[in-house]
Formats: sequence, structure tokens, C-alpha cells
Amino acid sequence: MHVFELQAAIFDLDGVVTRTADVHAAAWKATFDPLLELLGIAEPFDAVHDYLNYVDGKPRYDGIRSFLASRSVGLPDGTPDDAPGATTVYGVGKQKDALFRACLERDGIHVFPSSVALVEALRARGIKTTVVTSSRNGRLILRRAGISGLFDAVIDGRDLDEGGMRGKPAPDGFLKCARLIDVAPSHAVVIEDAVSGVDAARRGGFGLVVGVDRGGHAAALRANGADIVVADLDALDPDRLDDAMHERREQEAWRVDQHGFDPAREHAMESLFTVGNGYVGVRGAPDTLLPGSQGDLFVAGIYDRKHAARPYSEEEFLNIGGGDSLHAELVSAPFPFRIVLQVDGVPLDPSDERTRRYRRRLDLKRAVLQTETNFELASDHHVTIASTRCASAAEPHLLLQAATVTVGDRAADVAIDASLHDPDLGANHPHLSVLETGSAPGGIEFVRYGTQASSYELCIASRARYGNDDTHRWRTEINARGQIKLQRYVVVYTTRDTDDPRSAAIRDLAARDWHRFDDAFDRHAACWHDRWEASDIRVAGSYATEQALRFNSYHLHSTAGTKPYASVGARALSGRAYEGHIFWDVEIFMLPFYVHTAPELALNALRYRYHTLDGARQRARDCSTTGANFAWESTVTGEDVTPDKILLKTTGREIPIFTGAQQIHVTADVAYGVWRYWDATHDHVFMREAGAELLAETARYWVTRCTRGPKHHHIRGVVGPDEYHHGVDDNAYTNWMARFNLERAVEIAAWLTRDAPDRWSELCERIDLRHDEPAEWNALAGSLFCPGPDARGVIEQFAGFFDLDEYPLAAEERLKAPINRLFDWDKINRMKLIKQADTLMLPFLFPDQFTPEQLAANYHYYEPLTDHGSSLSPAIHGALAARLGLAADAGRYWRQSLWLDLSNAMTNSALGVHPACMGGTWQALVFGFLDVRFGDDGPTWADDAAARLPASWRSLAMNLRWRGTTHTVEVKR
Amino acid sequence: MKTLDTLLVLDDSSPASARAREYAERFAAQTGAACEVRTKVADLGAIGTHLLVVPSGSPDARAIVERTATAVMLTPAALPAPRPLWRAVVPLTGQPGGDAALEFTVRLAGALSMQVIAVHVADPNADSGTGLEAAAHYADAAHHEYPQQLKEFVQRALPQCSVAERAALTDLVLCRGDVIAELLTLVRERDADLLVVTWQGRLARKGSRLLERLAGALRCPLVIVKPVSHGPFRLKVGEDLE
Repeated sequence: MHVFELQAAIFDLDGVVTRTADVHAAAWKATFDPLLELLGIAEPFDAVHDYLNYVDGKPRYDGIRSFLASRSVGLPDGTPDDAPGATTVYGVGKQKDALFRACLERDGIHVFPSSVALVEALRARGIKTTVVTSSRNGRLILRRAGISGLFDAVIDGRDLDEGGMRGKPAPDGFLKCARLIDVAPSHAVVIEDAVSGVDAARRGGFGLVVGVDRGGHAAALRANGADIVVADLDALDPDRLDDAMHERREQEAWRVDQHGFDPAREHAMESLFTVGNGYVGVRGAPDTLLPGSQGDLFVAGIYDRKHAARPYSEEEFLNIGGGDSLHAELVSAPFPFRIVLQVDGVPLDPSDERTRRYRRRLDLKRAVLQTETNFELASDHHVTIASTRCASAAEPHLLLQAATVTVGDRAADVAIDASLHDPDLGANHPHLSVLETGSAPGGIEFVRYGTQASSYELCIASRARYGNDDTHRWRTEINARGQIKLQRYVVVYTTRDTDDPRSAAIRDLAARDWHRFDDAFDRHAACWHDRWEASDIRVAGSYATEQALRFNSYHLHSTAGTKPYASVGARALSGRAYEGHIFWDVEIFMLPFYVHTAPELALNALRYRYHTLDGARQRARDCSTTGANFAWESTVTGEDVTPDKILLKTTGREIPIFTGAQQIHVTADVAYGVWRYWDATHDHVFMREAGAELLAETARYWVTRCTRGPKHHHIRGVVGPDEYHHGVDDNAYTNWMARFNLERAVEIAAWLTRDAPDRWSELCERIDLRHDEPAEWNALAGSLFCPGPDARGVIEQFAGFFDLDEYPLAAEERLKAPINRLFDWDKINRMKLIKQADTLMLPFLFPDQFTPEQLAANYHYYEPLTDHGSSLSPAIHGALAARLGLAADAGRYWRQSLWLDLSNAMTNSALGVHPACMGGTWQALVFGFLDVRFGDDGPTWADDAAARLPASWRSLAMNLRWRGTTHTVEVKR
Repeated sequence: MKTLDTLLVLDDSSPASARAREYAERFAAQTGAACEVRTKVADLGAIGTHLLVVPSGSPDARAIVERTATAVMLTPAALPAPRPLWRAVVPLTGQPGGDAALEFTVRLAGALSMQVIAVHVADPNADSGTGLEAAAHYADAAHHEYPQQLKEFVQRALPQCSVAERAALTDLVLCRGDVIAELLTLVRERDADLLVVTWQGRLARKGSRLLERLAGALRCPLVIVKPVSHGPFRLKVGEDLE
């Protein structure tokens, strides 16, 4: 049983409450018909069709202009002083008003009894009732009808004029009314009989929109956004309205809707609306691309050398070292959903000034992207293109697209080109050159590309159908109110999957059956149904939180694949930033989400590390160490692709990059991931076949990377998670993680020796592991200096941190680090200024090793020094603040993290979404607010978990996987 | 899209307006636009032209810049004789919708065979109040974020420009310092013929002083471009959903 959410009802007047629509229509007809005759137009005013389409619901003068435009004529506006009957807009309006008032005088006002009954029922439940009407006579009509006392607020045409508000379909009047009665639009229902009124309510974001169809225009009301259409209000009561509102809001929490088109925000929207399945990701550009769209297709694991022809921007920043790798950059391939649409010979895209309406919807439940663009070529000449697309979760090589082109009241010559040809391949996708284009029976087209340096091939093939014609190009005359449909299969294969991607792609498409096209969408949705069963989080009391959590889960699932040669890049498969490089983000921030919702995806992330283990071994040798030293930025082979420095060309200034050589904690982070996965799944097969080897080789690395001191071993010259400080000694996070790595390797060596001695012997032989090495690891773990709490309970981030200069951190620098961080890197190195949680990672990852006092001491010491220059930081702070009971801090940090991409908080979501932040947000909720811990019997959570939840939440429910069992966590206030 | 249909010159018979007229005629000759001369501009809001050319010292200059929706070229008094235009400098802020000047200039460059240099000026004193300085902030790994963000700023400002049109943009410069001083330096060092800026609200509030400072020190015309409105935009998330 949900809480009653309906707080207000806003009624239109004419045709909804009062039976004045007929009077209006008659007055309009009596006004317009003589005028039309005067103008030499034979077709008279239709009191049904013309009234509903051009006049009803709109301010009087807008209605006149709208109707006359439909007859291809116009009148001068004139002035408000024009006499009734003058051939001006004002004159015509006054004429109609005079006729309307005369009718009222003569016939009186009639109300709909069912409407009055509904108003009274709502008021009896304490729900506010109001009227918003474009009629300038609104108040007069209510008074004459004797029902003024039933409404808490009234806004009529005079109020709109005097307040400078736009008429319907603008939502101004409705929004003003909601403000007057102090009710949020999302808690109000609008009841309207006019298409323009329904449209206005939808644009205003009202919680429910009811269409009243008294004249056969139910379809138009629904098309413009009515949630419910009724013939009369006797079909409604307060409970039904509230149920409908609740249902609608529940649906809204399963999708992300964009209304309107702004080219300057387009790249950020493309990132948010990416569809993907871990094998491919396609940014959410419109089907009808703009010249500047970045509709990239990314294929996991396909990298290339940084392209030689650098664009203008990189003239300013030249990366030196690292970027020379054959696999330095994730390759962007052309947009596979491109549709070139021409109507009457005119090419159209959403940035066109003729775009009347643009909607983009990410349906999270089914993981499909829907777009709809309505073009107004003339007042009676509309064309709409609507499409649905997905990257199949059931078949990783498959993309699906269905599109419909619908024309309005006038026939149109429509041409569509859905070919794969990209006219700007060289400029937009410089890593690729076309090796071959061709076709195959069944209307298949394909393009085979080769990467410039890394010698990968990928083949993108498409099969399209319009009606019963298998073709990618179609031109036809569509009759008025007619439509055509396009269905399209696209497949992607690369030489990382098969020796002959071209044959694989053609074979795949040729085997597909058009009768099973819809089934393909359904199979995809079925996979997502299973994912949501495992991972959805229900938050009673906050639809927006549910929506944002689902958005994050959607992207985390969309980018995790099943190929062992690829893992999740810093911006997933949704943008070019970070060039697809794989960081510690995966093991520390994302892996726990996968471990507890989709362990098979966690397994694949670790298989990727095993796949690159040889590269890590080579890197260790290159650094004169032993074992495996994982790359800070990893792509194909395990080599590190971090540049050594960047050069600012304009000034010739070089800025060193220390992370590649010094951020060595990633090696221990990989080991942590291995252990965490195994602990949560008891996947002994993985541990025997790959995990143990990963733990052993990473442990070996520390043996030679640590240096002996008088009392302890030390790790010198590193960069910790806080990347503002380089060349530091004994970074607490690095040393603690290295110790964890060593201890777990010892544990697994013992486990294997006991449980699978043959496997242990085989491993020792294969990697030349001496039998005394585990003892050596154990000794080092005991000897390694791991900074502990001082007298205040604070752990020093690294040796000498406490002695650094103070940095006055301004509030506006938080989460938005200024450019000084780049130019003044050396100065920052000497300051107490932290980019992201560093020492605080320790109580986050090892909660049992900190007392509440120690946690508080570290949080209160480090939090004020942190500018959150990384998207990874707020979630950790939110989690720890929640454990400490600091509700304000916890809520603020968690909200920043939760909505980081949806609010574009760091102004960089155009470059791709932040999956590690999403994983961190999930962890902050689970391991911070709920403080979940796992034991042999599954998860337990804090006794006071309910009290820690944000105040508006009534309950939270989610599932967590633990050792093969799904456990439900449910917390109620 | 044709970049310039009409240039409208305000000629108040001053020596400065004679030079303004010469510049307008040079523009018109190079772009194929019509050039009209008026002694007074009555209803600026209704003018269907694409560029108003006004001497920066004109008493009407400020009102014209504030009221018109059209791009305005202010011609400083001390301008040299016009030469074939070959290079323009445009500050790039990175603000969504705040860099209309770049699209205007890139399209103009196509008609004039002109090079365009975009400059992103980071002001260490944070908000200089001009609205021309780098509005965006950076985060995380510098070698990843900075190049990609700058590239994004350019692309965000040119969503409707083709690859061929975008080729007019030859350089993207990052510098740090006082935004006005940096722009003047770059115009001088690169021997630019035009400085093109986007009209910002903040520029409007401190308008006269800043425009005077820019126009007074420039030895080339200053073009001010008004941002383009793209209608309502809404992403239904967060509070909007709640």
C-alpha cells in the first residue's frame, strides 16, 4: 500500500467543468465564417475538427492566428482598441467574445454534474482543487455557475495576460497555479479536454494528466501525453487518480526522459543515453545525426595507436611516452544507427529550426533507447520519426533498430538512407580505414575496417527492411496520416573474436528471420529482467533515487562483458575520455557491485587481469622487480600506456605524469579483487586456475619492490590514490594493500597445499615458485611498515604529510578543481591538499580494523583537506559519514555521487559516464548507510541502518548474492 | 547556411564611421553580402541583418550592443585601413551555449578563407567577471581530462558545422592570466584581424567598461555575437522527478 501522493487537482474549465465548449465553438463559427467568406475562402469553420485542433484551449488571439494559418491566411494583429468585427486579430477576438457573452446571457451556464461531484470528492479528501483556463471569462463563468467556492485558486485568461504568462501549450498557467497552492507539480493532476492543455501539463511535469474526450479525439490526447483518457469524469474518483499517479511515477522511475533539444548539451546526452552490452557500446546520438554528433560505436578490446593526424586540441597537449603504444586508445567506429531522412527533398535532423518536438527516453527496464522527433514543415505539414534501439544483452554481436516515419495531414515525399556509409570517416574515426565495402544476398550491406597500427579488423554489417523490401535506401510518397516502418539488424565482429569477421557477420545476418525481429527485442528485455531481479534497489519514498540507482546499474551492466580480453574502462563504452584505459577503478569501485549482483561479470573482470598477467610480469622485469606489476593504465597486453609527461605546445612547458611509474597500489588492488570475489563466491575453480597465480605473482612483486630499513620494510617513491602528491614514502593505502596482498597470498598457498596439492605443485613448477616463498611473503607482511593511528587516532597519509604546508581550500574548488592543479603541480605537491579519499580508503575497505573513534578522527582530519578532484571521492566520504552518523555529510556526498552524471556535476559527462563513481555509489549505500557485513550465513546490516537512510525514505529493499545464494536485505523505518 | 546576408553600417558622419564603412565594405566584398548604410538605427530588434557595423566610439554603440539580437562589429577609432581578413581569435569558455561566437566565426571563416584561433583563458583569480574566461573546471587525470575537455568545448560550440567548416579552426590555445590582457596579447602576437566574443550576461552587467577596455586597446574590430536560444530543454531526473 503506497502513501497517498495526490495533493492537488487542476481542472480546465470549458468542456471539463462547464458545458461551454459548444458555446465557444458556436461563437467561433459565427465569427469565422463571415470572415472566411470575406477573405474568399470557401471552406467554413468546422465546429468540431477546427475547434479542437486550432482553437480549443489556447488563448483567444493565439487561437485566431492558429486557425487562420491553417487556411494559409493571416490578419494584422491590430490593437486592443480595435472594435469588434474589425479585420484584425484583436477585432476578430472581440467579435467572438461578444457573441460568446451573448450566448451565456441567453442560455446560462451548464456544468457537468460528474465533474462537480469529483471536485467535491477530492475536497472531502483534503485535496486542493483549482481551475486554469485560457478563457478571459473564467471567473465570470464560475460565478455564474455558482461553483466559485469549490476552487482554492483560479487562473484565467486575464491572469495570463496580466502576468505575462504564455498560453497553452506552454505550462506557465499550470505552474503558476501549483505555486499559488504550494503543491509540487509532480503531486498534482491536470484534467484537460484540449490537446494543447494536455501538452502543457506534460511539459510542466505534472504527476498525472487526464484527458477528457467528449469529441472523438482520444488518440490525439494520448499522443500528446494524457496518461488516462475518459469520456466523462464519472469514471474517476480520488483513489483511482492517486493509483494512476503512483503507477505513473513508478514507471517514470524506470526511465530517463529528455524533452527538447539543445545542441550544446547534446554530447552529454549522448553519453547518458548510451546503449551497450559489454561487447559494444553506442552513444545515444539521434538516428538523424547532426554534423557535430559524436555517435561513436566502441567495441571492447579494440585499441589502436594514438592517431598521427592530431586534431587542433591536441596540439596544445602532446602526450609523451605511453601514447606510443600500439594499443594506446580505444577505437571509435562509425554510428551504426544512422538514418539520413529527407522530406520533400529537405534533409532533417533535430537541430533543424523546424523541429517542433524532440523526446529521448532511456527505458531502463527493457534497456532500450527511444527517440521521437517531430518536424513542422508547415502548419499542416508534420513529419515524425520515432525509433527504438538496443545492444542485445542476449547476443553480444547484435544491435537492433526499429524506426517509424509518420506524416501528418499532408502527404510527403520521404527518402531514407540507412546505409553504413560515413562520409566523414577520416575526420571522425581516424583510427580506421575502410578495407572493403560490399553487399550480400538478403539486402545485407557490410563495411570491413582495419585499424591503422594495431592490425585489428572489424566488420559492421547491416540488414534493413522497409515494409517487405530488403533495402537500406527507400524513397516513397507517404499519404496523409500514413507511415512507413524500418527494421534493422546490425552485427559487429572483429578479429579478436574470429579470423574472418566479414564471413561471421554475413553468416549471422543471413540466418536472421524478419519474423523473429520483435522476438530479438524480447529476448534482450528478458535478459534485463533477470538482471533487475538480481540488482534492483527499491526505495519507497524517493522515485528520483530509485531512478538514479537504476540508471547507474544500467550503465554498470551495459559495459561489463564476457570476453576475457576486455574489462571496463574509466568511461565505460560511452565516451572517448580516458581512451578506454582500465584502472584500479574496476577492482576497488566496480567489482563489489558485480560480485553481489552478477558474479559472472566480476569473474570476467578478473579473467581480464589474468589475460594480461604476462604483460604485468614483463612490466615487473622492466622495473627490475619480480612477479607481476600491473599497469596503472591497461589496455590489451598489460603494458602500461600512461604517458610520462604532457607538453603544452603554446608555452613549451612540460608537465610530468607520475602515476604510470608510481601508482603501484594497482597491483595490490588486483589481488584485493581476486580475494573479494573468491570470498563472496567460493569459486574454487577460478582460484585454482587463475586466482592463486595472480595472488602469488603480485605478492612476489612486493618482495622486490619493498626496501629494508632499520626496523621495517618500506615502500618508497609512490603515488597513492591522492594523485596530488608524488614520490612519497610509505603511503598508508599502498602499504596496507600490499600487506593484504602478501597475507592473502600466504593464505591461498596454504589452502592450495592442503586442498589441491597437485595444482599447487603444478603452479610452483610453472611459475618457478620456490616452496619457501610463502614464508618469505609472510615475513614481509609482518615487517612492512603500515602506518597506524597516532595519538589522535589519525593515520598519516604518507611519511611527512603532517609537516606539509596548509592549503586554504575554498568551497568552490570542491568537486570542481581549478586549472591551477595542472600548472602548479609541484607547488600542490608540498601542500596539505588531497584530490580524493586516500587514507580514508582504509576504513572503507577494512571497517573491522578501525574503532569508531579512529574512523571519526581520520574522517574529520582528511575530509576538510579534500577537493574531490576525482569522481571516486564523494562516495567514499558519503559511506564513512553514514557510518559515523553524520547525516548531513553522508546525504550530501552520496547525492553528489548518485547524480554525478545525471546532473553533470563535474561538467565532463559529455566525455562519457563514470562507471566507477556508479559502483562507488552502490557501495556507499550498501557498505556505508546499511553497513552490510558478510558472514557464513550471508549478509547482516547495522541495527540502526534505517535511521541512517535519508529522511524521505520509508524503506529500502535489495538483493545481494553471497556464495551462490540470493539474500534479500530489507530495511524499514 | 549563408553566413552573412546583409551588413548594416551606422554612419554618423564621424571619421570613425568612415573607417567602419570601409571595413563593412571589405566584409561585404569578401562574403558577397549586401551592405546598407544608415545614419540612425530606429528599431534594431526588428532588423533582419546578420551584422551591424558600429564605430565603438559612437554614443549609440552600447545601446545597440545591448538591444540587438544581431551580431555587432565595433570598429575602434584607431583602426588601420582594412586588408583582406585572414585570422580571427575567439575566446572559448566551455559553457554550454556560451560560445556562439565560435560557430559564427567558423562559418564566417569559410566565406573569407580565414583562419580561426580559439583560446581558452584560465584566470587564476577565478571569476574576472567578463564571462569570457574559462568557465569550466577540470578534474582527475590531467593528461586525459584537459585535452578531451578542450576538444569537447570546440565540438560543443560547433554542433551544426560540418567537418569541412570546422577545418577553419587551426589552433586551440590554453593560457592563464587576466582574460582581457591574454586576448589582447594573442590578437597582437598572432596578427589577428578580428576578435570575436560571445555576449554574456556578465559581460552585459559590466559591459561598458570591459567593452571599452577591449575596444580601446584593440587594433582590429571586435565582433560581439549574441547566444542562440534553443527553446526549452528538460531532463526529467532528480528534483524534477521528485
